[in-house]
Order: sequence, then structure tokens, then C-alpha cells
Amino acid sequence: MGIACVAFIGPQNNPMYLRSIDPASDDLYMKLHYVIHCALDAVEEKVLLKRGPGDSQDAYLGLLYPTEDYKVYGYLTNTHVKVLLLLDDEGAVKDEAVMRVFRRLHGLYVDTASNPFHKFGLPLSSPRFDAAVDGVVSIYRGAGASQGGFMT
Amino acid sequence: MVDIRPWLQELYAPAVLVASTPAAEALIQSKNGLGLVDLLRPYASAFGLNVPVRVGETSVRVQDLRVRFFDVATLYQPPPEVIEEHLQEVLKVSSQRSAKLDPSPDLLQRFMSDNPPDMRELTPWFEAYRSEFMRLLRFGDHETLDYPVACVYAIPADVQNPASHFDTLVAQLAPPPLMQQDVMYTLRDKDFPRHYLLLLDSSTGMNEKRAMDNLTAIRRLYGEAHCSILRINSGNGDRAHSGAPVDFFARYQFTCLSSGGAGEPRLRPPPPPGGVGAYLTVQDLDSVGGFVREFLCRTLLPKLEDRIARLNASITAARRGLRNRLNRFWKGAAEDRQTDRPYPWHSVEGQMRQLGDLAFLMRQYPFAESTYRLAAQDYQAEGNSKWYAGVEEMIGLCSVLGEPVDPIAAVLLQNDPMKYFMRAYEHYTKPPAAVLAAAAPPGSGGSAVGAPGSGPPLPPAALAASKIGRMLATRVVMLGAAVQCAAGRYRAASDALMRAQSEEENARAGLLLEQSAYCMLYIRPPLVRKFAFQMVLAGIRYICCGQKRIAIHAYRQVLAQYLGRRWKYIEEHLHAVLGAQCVEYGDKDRALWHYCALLDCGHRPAAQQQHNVGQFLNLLAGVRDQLAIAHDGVSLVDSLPLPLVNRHDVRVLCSDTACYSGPAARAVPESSWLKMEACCTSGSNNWLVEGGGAKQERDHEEYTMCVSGEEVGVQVEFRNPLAVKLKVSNVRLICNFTHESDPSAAGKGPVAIPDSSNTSTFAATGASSSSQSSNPLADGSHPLLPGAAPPAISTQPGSEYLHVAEAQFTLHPGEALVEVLKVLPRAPGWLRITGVTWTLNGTAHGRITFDVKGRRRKKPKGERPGQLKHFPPHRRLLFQVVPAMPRLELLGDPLPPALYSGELCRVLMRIRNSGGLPLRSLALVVGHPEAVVPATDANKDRPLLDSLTDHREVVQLSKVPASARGTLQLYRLWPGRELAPGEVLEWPLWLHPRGQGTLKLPIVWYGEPAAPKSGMRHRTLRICGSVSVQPLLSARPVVWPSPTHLSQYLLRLGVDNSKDAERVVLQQLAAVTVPPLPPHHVAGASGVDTPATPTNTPRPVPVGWRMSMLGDTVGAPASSAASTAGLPGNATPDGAPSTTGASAAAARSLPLAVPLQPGESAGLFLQLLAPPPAAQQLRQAVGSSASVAATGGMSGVTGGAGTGISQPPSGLATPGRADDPSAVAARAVAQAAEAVRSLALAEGGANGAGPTGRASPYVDGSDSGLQQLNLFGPGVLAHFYRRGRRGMVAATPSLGAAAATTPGGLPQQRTGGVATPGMATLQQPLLPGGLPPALGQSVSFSPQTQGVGAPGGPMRGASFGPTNTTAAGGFQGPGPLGPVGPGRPAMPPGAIGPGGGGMVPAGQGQAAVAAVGPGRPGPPLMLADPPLDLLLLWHVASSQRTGAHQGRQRLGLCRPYDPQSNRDLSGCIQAHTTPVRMLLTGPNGASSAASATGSAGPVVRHDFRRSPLAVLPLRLLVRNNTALEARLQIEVGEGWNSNDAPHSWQASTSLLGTSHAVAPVGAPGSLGQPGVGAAGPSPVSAGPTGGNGPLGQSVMAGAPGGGGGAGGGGMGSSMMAITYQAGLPPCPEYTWVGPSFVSVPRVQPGGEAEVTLAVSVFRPGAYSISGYRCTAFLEATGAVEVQRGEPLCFRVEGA
Repeated sequence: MGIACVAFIGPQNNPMYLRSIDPASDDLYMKLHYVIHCALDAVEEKVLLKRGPGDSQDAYLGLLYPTEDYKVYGYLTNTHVKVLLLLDDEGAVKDEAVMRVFRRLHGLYVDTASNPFHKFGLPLSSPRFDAAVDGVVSIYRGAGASQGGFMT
Repeated sequence: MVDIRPWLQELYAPAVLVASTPAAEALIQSKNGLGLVDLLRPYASAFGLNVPVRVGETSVRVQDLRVRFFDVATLYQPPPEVIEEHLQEVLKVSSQRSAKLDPSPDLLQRFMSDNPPDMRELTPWFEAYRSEFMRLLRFGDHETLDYPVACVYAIPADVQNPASHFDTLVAQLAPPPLMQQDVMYTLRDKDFPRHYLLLLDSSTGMNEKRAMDNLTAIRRLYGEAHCSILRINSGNGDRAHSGAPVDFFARYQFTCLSSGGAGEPRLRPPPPPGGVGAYLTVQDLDSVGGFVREFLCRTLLPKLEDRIARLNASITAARRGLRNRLNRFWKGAAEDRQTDRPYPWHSVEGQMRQLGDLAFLMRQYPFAESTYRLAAQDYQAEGNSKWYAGVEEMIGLCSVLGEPVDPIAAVLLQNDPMKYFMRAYEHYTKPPAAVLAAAAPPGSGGSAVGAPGSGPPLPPAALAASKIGRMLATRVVMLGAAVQCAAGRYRAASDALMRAQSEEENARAGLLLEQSAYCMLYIRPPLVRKFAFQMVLAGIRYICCGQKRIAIHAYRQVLAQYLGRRWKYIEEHLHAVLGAQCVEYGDKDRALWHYCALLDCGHRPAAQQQHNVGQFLNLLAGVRDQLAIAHDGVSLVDSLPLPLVNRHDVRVLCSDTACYSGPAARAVPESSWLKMEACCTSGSNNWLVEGGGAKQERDHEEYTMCVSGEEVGVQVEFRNPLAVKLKVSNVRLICNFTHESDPSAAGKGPVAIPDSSNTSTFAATGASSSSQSSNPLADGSHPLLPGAAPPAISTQPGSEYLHVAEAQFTLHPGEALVEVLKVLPRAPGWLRITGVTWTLNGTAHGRITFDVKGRRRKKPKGERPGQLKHFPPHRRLLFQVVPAMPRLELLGDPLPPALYSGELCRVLMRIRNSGGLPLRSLALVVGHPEAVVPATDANKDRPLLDSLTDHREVVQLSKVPASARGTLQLYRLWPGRELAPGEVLEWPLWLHPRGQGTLKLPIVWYGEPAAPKSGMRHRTLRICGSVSVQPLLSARPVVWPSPTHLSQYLLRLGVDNSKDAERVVLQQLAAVTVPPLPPHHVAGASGVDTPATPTNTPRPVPVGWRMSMLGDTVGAPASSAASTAGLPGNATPDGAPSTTGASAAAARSLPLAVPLQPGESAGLFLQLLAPPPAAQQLRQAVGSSASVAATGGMSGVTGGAGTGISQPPSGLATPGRADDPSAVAARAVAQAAEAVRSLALAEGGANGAGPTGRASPYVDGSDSGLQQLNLFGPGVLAHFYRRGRRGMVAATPSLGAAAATTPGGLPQQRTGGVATPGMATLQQPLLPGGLPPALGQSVSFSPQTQGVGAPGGPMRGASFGPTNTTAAGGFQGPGPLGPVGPGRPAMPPGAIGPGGGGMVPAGQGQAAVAAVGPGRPGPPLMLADPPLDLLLLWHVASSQRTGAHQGRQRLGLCRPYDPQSNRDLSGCIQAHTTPVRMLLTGPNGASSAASATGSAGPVVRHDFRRSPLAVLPLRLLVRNNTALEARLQIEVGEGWNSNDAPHSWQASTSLLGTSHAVAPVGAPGSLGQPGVGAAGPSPVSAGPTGGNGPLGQSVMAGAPGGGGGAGGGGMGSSMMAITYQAGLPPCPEYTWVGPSFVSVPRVQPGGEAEVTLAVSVFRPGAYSISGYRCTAFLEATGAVEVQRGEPLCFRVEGA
């Protein structure tokens, strides 16, 4: 189990950040774009189904939908920025672990968006952010490996 | 919700086999072009039969029945390749027919609404495909649904012995393949239902009788019910006669395959000449219908019932029941085998399937389902997955069809048939056993994984089987999806479809994906993105199988889902695919549009960009009318994204009344230009017009004026976002021009609105100009421009009024280029620029409209630029073209790029009138004080210095409005002359930058047209030059008083050359004495218009500060500065003679020849000679008269004094500010004049007296012109040194500021002055530069106060006000001071801080005190010496710098004193100056000044044996440094008197004790000293305790010794202080000190007096004489100044 892709989608459903964790070709990126774009349907559906007026719900949306290669997990911030994770379709996924990753990514996004030069909703292009995302992902990978119980 | 069951039932019907002899077949074929099957098929459905049939345990009445007729030769399944091929064709045709290339417009809205569209309507090709797909999959070996249940034999009716014919037919019949394999229920079975038919052809005249006989015969043989005769061909070969519909038969005919099979013949007979069915009449057709009905009722249904019963019985025996089940269970468990072999029809397994299928066809679904379930167990147990899948599929269908009609959805929801379908799917997809067997060949150990690919090739049968299996699986999914959709379970349907598509062949996968995608839209809420994604996937699949049209449809359907939502990768993918597909499909327009969208691909690799651009251009190459290619109403031309044009930020470069000389001038804010122009125009304009009050508006839009014949430029930014080089050519502005004489416009006047309906609009094609262009597209019929070819153009070419320049450029990768596009209006009228057009790489035309149009907003919101009503001038694109005007143009940039700080430079401005009219009233406004324009251009070709000295080289300023005064200079040139068109005017401009950094020099040339026309009353040329000013020389002057001469000062001037500079020669140093103004200037000076006055008055011989070189330190290296630092002490003894010698050569100006290499330093050691008091005569006379003018004259430079005296005290509260500006200006002029004069006259004075005697490139002093430099009017130099607050002599307006900022007691003293009006004259004459450290000043001026005990003490001496007490309070800490010398660091530096810091409160408090004690004089006194400044003239012989200066001489002036701090040298001098200066000299060169520096003094020998008393003559020189006449009183010996020796006093060693002895002595009443004495230990004595001064070290060392050896001569080696006592208590007898009180009656300001004194000593020793002081009474003010003398040291030794 590993994270294949991290995506931040703006409130207008515009891509703000989309990154394949492993180096990827343009074609793969295109596929990821499609998958993430599709996942937005699921996000909307979840929100529509889950949230009544006045409901304050968990930001974590859980598994959005499985594709043939990935499992898409979602997270919705208060500013309607969606954080999506594509997990390799291998092994079991623990919700807590995924949720932790989402929390970290959320914090990361908040930090980045606090930059006075960042305009809300515009793409994130910060090398520091890239590095931080890598950090979060590697932590998750480590955690996932240990969950498997076989650390070599 | 659609009921799906009719459709499903329609799919399945019993099949009937038809066999006929060739003769019989020919009967129908030859005439009608039909086979017997074709003839029967239209009547295959029979209604209202009402035949009872028993199926299983139930009996039903069959009302309606439909059968399918098949020819016996067609009953087989075609091979899969043929199927695929055919299906492709079907899809192609179908999509060609119904797939639209443009997306359905409001698809999503329709889905969102309550009434979503039907799926069949959306994808009609799917329906067509599916039905054909299912048809072709018939006759599989695992299902018997399509196997014939009955058979019709046909022979001609008139044959002999029909039974033999039937036998022959049966015998020769080739049964279908499956029947041969015993899978299909065979014809040869005796129970197979048969029907015998005789065909009677009426047209050939068949023997009807024999036919009826034959019928009777066969009826007898085969049974009454199973034989029929059919009469056909009763028509005459004319279709119109027969009455059958045209496609009556074609509807029931299906496409023939090349391989035959699937129920259709391999080839259809050609249609006969009369058309299909030409010989068939309605009667014939009716009889066919009757035959079919008869066949169904009599043969088919009864026989079918029998067969069902037989099968049921057999199965019941073999399979049903517990025993059988156990048996089967045991048996099935025993063997574990895989097979896909079909079961023969007579086996139990085959029978079960047959029974189920028959029951299904009879619509007995529950019975069929139970049978299937029974069979399913068997098949599963045997591992026959195909059969198992087949029955599972049927179970699913039964479960759908077997439900009651009513609430189908609800029931379907309860009982989901999908599981059966999916089970069937699973098993259909299992590879057939043959494949499995091939995949695991014996002995293939290693290749178990890649078996299908790497193993031995599969047998073709197995391959076909697997393909068929795949298709069957897809069929199941199609059925299931249809069922789920009908039930409203779209998500499940989608899931199934998605599952099936992944392994399916492309076309079917595409279809399945498409279906799945649409299912997404049926889901609530619609999943539009998934829909889009799956459509894209479908599109990919379609592309893979070459179904272009449907692929394009799929893509375009969802393109709108992605466009403009920043999913760039996706967009690009779609565009790329669509572009390629459209090209292949031949839709060039759409392809262009998609490729165009791909052009903006800067984030792609360069190769990709190259490819995109190349593709687009290649495709576009052949297109002529690019404007017509439009998408969504946007033309391709308008959407060309390359290069990027910034349509928002356009900048108009247009000359209205103002012309600009370059971009730098445009960068200067408009307001500053307006301010400068206001200087010129203020005479003619009023304030209403001034501030842009008159807005030029047309149709509520502000416009700009431009002149016909002058180009209007628009600055547009083009950017190349790619890594590909772009060639952009044919770049032009798009303009509309309305000629002024246009009748409609003229009728409405100039404010008429250019209306497209009634004004002729000229497109900016520039037809005539570019008609010769090689580019065929660029000629007059430019295809791009709107209205390019209207008739108006041909009759009235646009080029007559307008010329649009054409630009072309190449944009390198990533380059951004700001191009100025130009249009030249040639006639008056209205011009509007709307956009820009270009051609990319010679092929693609682009066009963009500027985002600047009309008004910004109707109701302005606020004041910010974005909220204003109109666009700023540089963005207005509407122009009024006015007739020709004069125009000024700058030829070349005259300014050098770089100058040295202080350099004097003359540049020549060349101005041309490039307009069409002559220009008059030329004027020039210069916006920087460091540039100046002479009144004449006569000297422009002469050398610099020559022209500087020319008396005509003057500056004549015109008066400017008060607001601009001081910063702007206005020059009116050439009054009365005109500048004709084309004429060039050259005018010099002097530059003298004095700061560092960049000098921005805005200049406005102004002119008026000779004959004013239409709105423009003047035109200006705005120039903004920029010069970088580099540092060159920096000077570090140090001043201190000369130790030997009271009126002289020493100056060390260190000059550093900048490291980055070049070799510089210091040429001349001039001392500038600021002269006083004549009285009438002060009183009546009216301003700047009298600058020439000084030249007119006969001047006395110029006196003032002079200077001379001290020693020969010229050219000394920088290190010598260190050694000279200690010079004041060491050099005095031997320096004194030399200075006196040198003073003969003293002059106001010194020629030098000091070369300085870059980075080098030079130290100049100079002696400054104050002007003799005689020179002050005038001032003194005036001053003594105490008139207002006199004081003003004295304080010429100080400012404010003149008025301050005459005004009441209240006026003094704002000293300096209340100054009369005219007086200030007059003074400034005088100062400047003096500066220049001293500079120029220097050469004359020092002509032969150069100290070095070297031949140096001086300015030739003999040049009389040079001497006249400043004698005539305000010359150029004078101008520079007058103007500005930081001119050479500090400008007076800054006095107040300087005073306020000086960290000294100035404000204090001033407030004191306010309180004491009598002292005003004393307070005011402050030097403008201030007295640098105010505390130092107060120290030097009031040494007495240092001993004051407490600041608040009420008893202060009459002469010193609380000002000084407070000030002194700050440095009380040091305690008693010795004699305070001028400039001596008498107080610790730290004391300055508190003193300065406490200044303001102290001042206030002191003001209150002062109010209590009136009549106190203010301490600061005006100096006698006039202010002094220095100027250093340097030159660079031949500049090494590249540029205009290279190889030429450069000249400049350096002012040593920092202009920033606003000081001149006199301020520095004053810091070292006391009001009264004393110099005590003794024998052998003993001098108080030398002693002050720590020298032990000379040795005096005296023979004490001959005379016990050594009387030493002393000489005291006193100089009055104040500017007031003073009466001096010199006291020695602290007021002791003696009658004998005049001017002598008594000295003794300090043995006898001193200070306490002094104390009781009463102080003379004239001085309020006792308090002082009491407060300090011995403030006035030079006793041991007085050693805080510089002597302290030696005194302290010597005092103990002195104390020990009282009266001993051995003390000689130690220093002893001298007191006033002769070792005896003071009494008259022993006091033979001469009168210690000398009065000098009058000492002029600056005057000196000499007092002879004597001192006597009793014994040898080292002595230090102190205790003398001088009190000056300034009678003009009543002030009293007390100055203590410095100690004089010497040694007396016995002879």
C-alpha cells in the first residue's frame, strides 16, 4: 500500500496541485488527472448525501471510489479545498492512517496558503510545499510498512 | 421506467426450417427476387390462434405465436472474424447515420430536468449494433433456442409423384453442421415435425389439376394436417399492380455475410426487372399468411406439445427425484473434469436444455426456470462452463420475464436477476477447455505463465471458441445492463458494463463504455465527471478500432465538461485527439480549432511545442479564408493564441500638445511636467484651464489630440510563451478613421459620434502601401480585417487619410517584446484604434481587440485609478486628428552618460522644428538646479573656460510662478524670433552636478505656433535626461587657530581621489570670503532682478581671507597626513617663521599643480589669513552707528540679523524665517559673485608666486577675461553657486532649520534673546552655518562659568545669563578647569551629550529665568572675520573614459566642506575662536600657545647672585574677535595692585602656598568673581590643583617636589607653578607687582592690541604663568566677555 498521487483541488474544482509521488510520464499524469477529476463527482455525492444543513461533518470523506488501479480517498476542508489521495490498490488500508495523512496535508496546505503572496484557489507552486508533501508521504509509507508487520 | 419484457420476448421465437427443391426455389426467385423464406417471414407472426398447449404440468392456450423461418442452408453460426467485420460495418454505418459531430447542446440540462432523454435516443447506434450482435451469435452449440422446432418442405406443385420429390429433397438435404454433429435435434428423427408444401405458380400456367392431385396424394401419405398448397405469382410482373409495399420483404431480410450463416443466405438473388415481389399479388400474400397460420396450428404447436411431453418424461425419469439427485451427486463428485464439448441432443443434458428452451419459447417461464436450474446443476458439476453460463443466462431472463406485469420495478428490485447474468458472464469468459489444454501442454514446465502468447499456437477452433465465449459474455452483460437500466439501477448497470468492457474488443468496449457513461448521467445526482471520463475512454476505444465519427462524437460530447476548468492535461489530451481525428475524418475546420487550442503549450517539452505549432501551420497552409473558420461564433483568427498579446496593457505614444523625447520622459509623472509647463503657459492660461479642467470628451469618452502628419504609436507587448522561434509579420493596428469633412459628421460638429452606419470606416489595410508586398495575403484584400472589401474602400482608399505602418519581428523562445505599432493619420478627423492584427510564421493570421474601449464606467466610483470614469491619457485610443502643427524634436541625446561630481560640463541641445508650422515664443524650463542655460549661444563652440569667462555668458532667468520658484528655471530664448519648419536650433546647457548618484534632469521646451489653430495653443517637448554622477574628489579640511598669529588659522586639507576615477590635477584653491552687502541692498533690495549691482559699484581692493601654502606638503602621500596630525604642537616653534615668510605670498587664490592618481590622496597645509581690520572699516563704521543696516551688513551671511535688530522682540521669535526673501536673494547673489571672483582673481594674484614654481597647467591668470568672470552679471558659475539651499555659501533660508538642528545652544540663546531685547543684536549675528558644537562655543566664550557651583545659583555674574549656567551644568563634572584654550578639548566628550540633550528643557527653563532677570546679554557673539569658504578647481587633462568625454579636458569644482551639513569653513573657524584671543609671549620665544601644547618652554638664565629678582619682560597680544568694538581690561595677578612696575607682576614658586591665600582677597568690584573663586578650588590660579589642563601631567609630577624643596634651588628641574605672591603674605610692602589692571580703550573688531607685561621670579625653577585674563566690554551691546589666558611656561636657571 502506498500513495500514488496527492492532489489539492480548489473550491471551483480547479486543480491546485497534483503530483504523482513516483516519477510519472505525461500520459500517466493525464490519467491521474482524469481519475482525480472523476473523484470530484464522488466528493460531491458524498457531501450531498452526508451533509444536511447545519450539519458539521468530519472533513474526512473516506474512500471515494475504487478504480481499476487505485483507491481514491478524499478530504474536504472548510474552504472547500479538496484533498485527494490515490492509494495503490494493494493491501489493506487503515482509515486512521489515511486520516492522519490527510490531517498533515491539510496542515501543510494551511501553512502554504498563509503565505501572503499566495492567492486562494490558485495553483500551488512551491518547492517547499513539494518537499513537505514528500515528507508526509514518506511518513505514511513508513507507517504502512510497519503496519504490514514485516519491516526488513 | 421502460418495460423491457416485450423486447426480450421479441428476441426469442421458435425457429422453423424451410427446405425446398431448386425447382421450387426457382419459381419464386426468378420472378420475384425472393426466396421462400423471404416470402414466409412477413407472416411469421400469427395472432388469435387459441391453440391449447400443455407444457409440463400446466396447460396454456397459445394466442399469439411468432416463429422464425430459416433456410436449411443458413443454420450455422458464422466464424467470429466475419462477425466482427460485419459488426464494424454496422457500427460505421449506424454512426454515420446518427452520430452528430457537434455535441448535443444542453445534454446536462436535460438530464437535470425531470424528464431525462431516452438512452436509445442518445445512442441509436448501440441499438443497431446490439440487435445485429445478438442475431449473429445465434446457432451456438450450447443453446437450443434457435434450433429448428419444425420443418417445411416445398416442391413445385405440378411435379409427377410428389412423394418421390419430397424424398429426394430430404435425401439430398445438407443438414446444418450442428445437426451433423448430433447437437441439434435432427431432421432425421421420426418425430421431427414436418410440413409439406406445394408451390403453385400461376404465371407459368401450371397444371392446377395435377397440383390438386398431388396435394391429395401427399395428404394421404403424410397426413391431412401437414400438407398445404400455396398459389403464387398470380401477378403480372408489375409492382404497381401487386400492391405490396416497397420494403415489405426487405424489412425481414438481414444482411448477408460473406460466409453465409446466421440464418441468412450467402447471396441474395438479384432483383428481377419488375422489382422485388413483382409477381406477387395481394391474393398471393394472403394465401401465404393463411399457409403460415395453418402450419402453426396444425403442425407446429401440436408437435411441439408432443415433444415437450417426451422430453419432460425422459428428464423426469433420469434427473428428477431424490434417487437421481443422489446418484448424480455421487457421480459428479467422483469425476472432476472440464469440458466444453456440446451435449448431443439425445443425451439427458441436452434434453434438459431443450426442454427449458422450449418452455421458454412457449413463455412458460417458471417451468423453464426450474428446468434450467436442474440442468445448471449438471453442467456445473461437469464443469461445462459454457453450458452452465447459458442456462444461468436463461435463468436470469426467466426471472425477469416470469414476473407479473404490474409493478415490474418493485419486483425487480426485490429479486435481482443480475446475479444470474454475472454468473453467466463469469462462466462465459472462462477459457474453453481446448485453450486450457493448449495452455498447459505436457512438459511445458517453465512457460506456465505466458502460455497463450508463448506456447504453441492454439488451434483455430479453440481460438474461435474463446472469441465466441467473449462475445457471449458481452451479450449477457448487454442483456443484464438493459434489464438494470429498465429497473432504474443505473449504477449496477454501469458496473457491469465497465466490467465487461475492460477485456472486450475495442468497438464493443467503446459501446459499453458509452452506455456506462450515460448511465452515470441517469444516476441522481448525475455524475457528470464520471460520465465525461467514461466517454473519453469510449472515445479512445473507438479511435483504436477506427470508428472516427463516433469517436469524435464521444469526445466532443464531453469537451465542454473540461474546457476552461483548468484541467490542462485533460484539455490538451482532448484537443490533441480531436484534432488528429478531425484531420483524419476530413473535418479541417474543427481540426484547426482544436490545434489552435493546443498552441498554448509552453509547459510541454520543446519538441512537442514544435510539433504542435508545425501541425497547426501545416494544416492552415492551404486555408485562404481563415476568418470564416469559426467555432462557437469565435473566429479562428480571433482565437490565435500565438504570440501572446497583452491586450490590457497598451500604452499610447502620441504627441498632443506635449511631445516626448524618449521613454525616459514618458516615465516622469505627468504632474511634474504640468508643473513645468505651467511656468510657460501661466501667462496665457487661467486657472480654469490650468489643471486640465477642460476635458476633451466626445460621446462621453475622453480623447487625445494628435496632429495629422504625425505618427501615433501604440506600445503593445508581444510574448512568445513557447520554446519555438516565432516569426511574426504583418503586424498592424486596426483603426477606424472618420474624415472630418464627412458630411454627416460635419453636420453635427466636432462632437458628432462616429457612427458606423453613416460614416465611412476605413479599415487599416494600408492598401496602397502594402500592395507591392510579396506576401500575397498582405495585399489590399486582407482576408482578416472587417470590412476589408466594402466598396467604400475601393472608391476612397484608406491610405489617402491613413497610413498604417507594418511591423515584423521574430520572437525567440520565451522572449517578450514591446513593439511600437504606428499609424499615421494624414488628414484631420477622428481616429480610433481598436486592435492589432498579425500573421504568424507567414501563415496564420491573428487578431486581437484591445481591452480599452470607450469609457471605463459611467458612474465613477472613487478616486483610485481603477475607479475613474475615464482611462488615463496613455490608454485612450480615440484621437482627434487636428491639422498640421509645429513640433519640436530633440536631435540626439545631448547629455553625457556619466559625469564626475562637481564637474562643469557644457552640452549642446539640438532642437528641430519637425512640424509643419513655424514656432515662436521659444522658452525652456529646466527642472533641476544643477543645470543652467546661458542667455546666449554665442560661446557654444568655444572652450569651456573661455566661454565661462565671456561676459556675455550670463544666465537670464525669467520670473516663474511663486509655487515653482526655487526648483524650476524658466528661460525665454530668442524673443521675437521664429523657428521655421525644419530649422534646427542649437543651444548650450551647463551642467554642474554636485551630489552623487543619478541626476534626473527634466527639461521642457515650449513653443507656440505662429498662427494658432484649432485647439492647440502651444506645443512642448518634454525631455528627461539622466546623468550618472560619480564621485571624484573628497576633501577633509581641518582648521585650528594659528599658535603664533592671532588673526591666522591653519588649515590642513586632505584631498582624496576616488579609486574608480582617473588622474586628476588639482589646479587651484580659492578662499572665498563672503562680502558684506552694501547697505542699500539690505534695505531696498527688491529681489533677483538686481544681481548686476555689485559689478557696478566701484569696489575697493578686494580684501578678505587670504591664504598661503605652509611648508611644501604638496603632493605628499596620504601617509603624511598622520604625521601632520600632531603638527600643531610640534611645528609651531619652527613653523612660525616660515609662516610669516609665507604670508607675504598669501593670496586669495593659490595655483596648484597636484596630480592625483586614482585612489591617491594629497594633503595641503595652508595658512589662512583673516582680513585685516582695516578692511572692516566700512562695517565698523556702519556698525558703530548702530543702524539697522549696519548690523545687517556685518552679518551679511548670517541672515535675519538685519531685520532682527529693528524689530520688536516678538519678531525675534521666528528669526530667519521672517526674512525678507529679496534680501536673501540679494545676499545669495553677492555670495556667489564673490565665490567666482575669488576663483578667478586667484590667478592674477598668484601669478608669479607659485610655491612650487612648477610649470603646471593652470588657468592662465593673465587672461583678463577670466578676471571678469564674475564681474558681469550673473554668470554661469555664479548661478550654480547661488542657487539651491546647498550652494557654496549656505543659503540663508536654511538658517532657521540649521539653527534648529544644530545640536547646540543656539535655540537656547535665541530664546534668551527673546527675553532680552537688548541683546538681540548679539544673538542674531549667528553665522549661517551655526556654531558647530554649541557647547564648545559656550565654553570658549564663557570660561568663567565653568566654575559655577550650582546651575540654579542666583548670584551669577552680571555678564552671564542663565543660559550658560545651565549649559555649564551639563559639564560641571570635570571640575575646575585650567585656562581654556580655543579649540581645546576642554571638556570630556561625554559632557557634550548631556549638555546637548538637556538643551531644550534647559532653554525653556532658562527662558523663565531670563524673564526674571532682565538685561542680561546673550553670549554668542558675531565674529569679526567674515565667513570663509574654499573652492578647489580641478581638471582632468584628457579623460580616459569612453564616451563623449574621451580625450577631452574635464573641469570641475570641488567644495571641501560638506554641502550636506550646510556649513562653510567659517563655521569651523568659529568653533575654534574665542571672543578675545590672547597670546602671551615671553623671552626666548616662550609663548602661551606653545605651552598650551605641553612644551616645557625655553630656558631663561639669570644670575640670581647679582640680582635676586629676575624680571622677565612679557608681551601680551590681544585680539578682538568679535564683530563689535570692544573695550578691553586686562587683569593679571588676580587684581593685585602695585605702584612701581607698570604692567608687571610678581611671581614666586608655589612653595608658599597659594590658593587659600588667594581666597580671602576681596575681589574687585568690577567683576563678580568671588563666587567663582569660592566655588572652585582655585579656578584662577595656576596652582597644582589647576592641573586639569594639558599641563596637568607635569604639574602633578612637579608639585610634590616643589612642596618638598621649598626655597631650594634644587627644584629647578621640576615644574613649579607661579603664583602672585613672593613667598610672603600679601601686604603692600612686598607687593611690588606692577599694576595688574590694564585697560585698552578701544579695539576694533578684528583689531589687535599689545600690552607689555613683566614677571619676576626669585629663584630658579620651572614656571608656568597663568592667572591673567582679559575682560572685554562690548559697548554696543553692553555685553561682557571674559577670557582667561593660557599658561606660559618657561624655566629659569641660575647663570
